Amino acid sequence: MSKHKKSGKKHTSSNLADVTINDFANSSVCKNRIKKSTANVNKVLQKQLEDDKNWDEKTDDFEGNFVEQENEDGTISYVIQKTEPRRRKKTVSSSEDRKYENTGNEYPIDIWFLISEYIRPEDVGRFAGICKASYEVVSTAKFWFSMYKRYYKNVPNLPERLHPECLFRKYGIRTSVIRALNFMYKPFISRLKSLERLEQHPDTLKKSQCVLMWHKKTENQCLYFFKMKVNVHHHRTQKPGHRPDLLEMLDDVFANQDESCRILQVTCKHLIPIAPVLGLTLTSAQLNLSSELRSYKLQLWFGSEIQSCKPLSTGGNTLIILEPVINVRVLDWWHPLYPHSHNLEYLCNQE
Amino acid sequence: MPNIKLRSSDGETFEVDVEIAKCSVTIKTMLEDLGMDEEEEEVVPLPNVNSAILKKVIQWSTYHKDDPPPPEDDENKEKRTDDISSWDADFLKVDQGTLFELILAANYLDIKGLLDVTCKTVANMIKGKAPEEIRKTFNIKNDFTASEEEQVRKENEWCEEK
Repeated sequence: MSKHKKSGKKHTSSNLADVTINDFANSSVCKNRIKKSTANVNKVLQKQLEDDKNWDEKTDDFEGNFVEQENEDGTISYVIQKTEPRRRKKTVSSSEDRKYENTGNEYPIDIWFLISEYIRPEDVGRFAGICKASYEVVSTAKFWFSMYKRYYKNVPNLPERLHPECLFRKYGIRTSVIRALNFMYKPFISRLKSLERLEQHPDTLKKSQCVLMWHKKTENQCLYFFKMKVNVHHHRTQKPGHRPDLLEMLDDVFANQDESCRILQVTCKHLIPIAPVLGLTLTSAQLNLSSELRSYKLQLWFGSEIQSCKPLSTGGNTLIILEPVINVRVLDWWHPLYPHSHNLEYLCNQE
Repeated sequence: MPNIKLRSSDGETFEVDVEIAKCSVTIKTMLEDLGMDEEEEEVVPLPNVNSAILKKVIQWSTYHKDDPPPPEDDENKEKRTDDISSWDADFLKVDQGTLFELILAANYLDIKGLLDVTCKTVANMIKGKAPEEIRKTFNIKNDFTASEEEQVRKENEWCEEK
């Protein structure tokens, strides 16, 4: 009996020895487990990819806050406090796209078209915000053409491109009408005048990015312009996966290259060389009376987006000092003095 | 004076003076185009207007029957909203639903004077109010999501009073 057992064992081992590499590779038995060596290679590659990421991409994964901490020696240091990653709640009620639970009447779009003929320019926002149908009306070229015709006045300073003979295309009609209203519509003109008295502090441009900068020298002063764009991630609602074709783009009533943009206009007594800050974000702005007490000193700190959340004392910021400053203005895209293709000629002639 | 019968969407019949009925361009054209004789006992069906609203429309038309024809709309002129007569203002002290239905009826019946005054009333009620307040005043359903509402607000920063 024992002999038999022995011979059996021998037989099996001789079979295993016959398995070739080819047999193993073409084996029908599935081997899902990744080899230890392969897993390690993946880990290394992942780490390498993390390291290769740009600094701004890394911020997307960054979840934390800079927290002020007092050290034992009394000095203050800043530490990163990790925050729990935000988790999407599963309940429908907490979803951002939750519709308000309200019951009310829904009226046909015709009624909103009829009422829209009587809406004043300053009530357009309120009207658009009532419901989707009223918003739809405000999104039509008909609404803006009608608004323009009702309030058109041949004012001497109205740029040529905002004259009726130039406003016949749907493309960007809303932008043009809003700009024209700020030249023609009395309540808007007086609003601008009252705003001039309440000059906006450049600090209001904090966290916006400089997308363009230039200067203009005149006989006895120098004007600096910084085009600042707020990084808003809102876009007009479009059907998901829908890419507008050329004709749709040409009919875009809302087209506005200056949307979310504001101009910081600084008037200095003379030309001062400044560092380029294109693409950088304004982290802080200070406007103080200069030492001679007859002008101002404007200090602008620019940094990259990640630096904008750090305190001022940290290095890496680009500082622009403008002194002596005569005037500082923050101009919204609809302001008549906002420099754009419509009024460049007018602005040049004004100088 | 010859009368004409108007039937509302809910089947109620109103007998009114032809001249009053002719305040409505829709009825006027109907009578002219169809050659309906004023002596005939024909009933004009108005399937888009219910009896409560038709009653109000007849009341308004009766008061304004002798008014001169309203001037043609000048689309190049700013539309005033502060020229509503006291009688019209009192007449339009109705619930929001009725006001909106009157606009629809005036549009369907093509009664320019009534359409003007009802739209002006709504436009005046919108003046200076926040969208939420307007919705509450007129009992209108808010069909925006929170993010859409924010988007609309951002888009209209240009007309916000600062």
